Amino acid sequence: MKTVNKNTDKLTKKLLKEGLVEPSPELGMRIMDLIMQEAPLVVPEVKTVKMRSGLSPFVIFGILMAYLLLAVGLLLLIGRQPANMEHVFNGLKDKLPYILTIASIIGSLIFYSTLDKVLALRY
Amino acid sequence: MNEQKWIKSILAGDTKSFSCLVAKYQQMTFTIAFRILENREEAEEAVQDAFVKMYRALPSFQFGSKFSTWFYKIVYNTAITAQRKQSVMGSYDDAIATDLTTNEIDSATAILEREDRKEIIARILKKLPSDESLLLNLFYLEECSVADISQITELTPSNIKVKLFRGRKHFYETLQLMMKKETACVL
Repeated sequence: MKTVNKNTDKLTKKLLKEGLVEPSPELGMRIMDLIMQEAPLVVPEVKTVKMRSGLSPFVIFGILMAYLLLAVGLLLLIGRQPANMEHVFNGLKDKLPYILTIASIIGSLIFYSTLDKVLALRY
Repeated sequence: MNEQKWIKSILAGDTKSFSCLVAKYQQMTFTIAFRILENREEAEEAVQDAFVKMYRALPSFQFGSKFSTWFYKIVYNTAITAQRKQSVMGSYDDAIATDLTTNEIDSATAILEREDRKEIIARILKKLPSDESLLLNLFYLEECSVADISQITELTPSNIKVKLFRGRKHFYETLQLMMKKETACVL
């Protein structure tokens, strides 16, 4: 059945090719004449905005190092005074809602400002 | 792909590269317009309009999609607008088309040996409903998929399949009828 269909398809294609009506030979020239009269195309420019933080690489490196040192210092402190840790954690527990709220606000700010920059680049 | 290169150079200001697109697409675009309008002059006018429209819209063309489908849609819409007076897509009749008979296929094969085959086939295509002959051309000559044709004509894939089946059947029926008439005339 499939072979019959394939043969019919081939035959149909052949017949349709035979019945093709050719356009007049000067059609191409006429189209090109019209195109030459058209104004040059204006291609919309793609904005190339570079995302910069405004800080020099040294400052960024310095901030990174400061945070690292702070983290290491905190870890050392926790390691030396394990008895006081419970007191610290209890204190943190009370302030957890505030910490989470501030963290989510800062996170949203970073996310939406980045989204804004990406959209400005695209459109 | 050459096509992309041509489009890029046209966008860069080389209008002459457009002649490559004209050379490649003028035959098929003319066939589409001719099948809809059934008039050579009007079809050529529609093709010219479609090429100009395509040139103007070229900056908005997305390279991810198929250029031919995008362009044929412009041609199709231009030809439909030019037609205006009558609706291209004939009403969806409920007659059920059966598959091709052996006699129909035999007549079709016999016609290929004749000198005047081009003229006969052109006459048959003219007798077919314009939507059926257009779909047959897009499917068999341009090898557009059903999805591509659906994008161009905005018909549903199932409707296209029915029309293709019916168009092929009508084509072979008309061909057999023509051959029978000719034989009767000779006798």
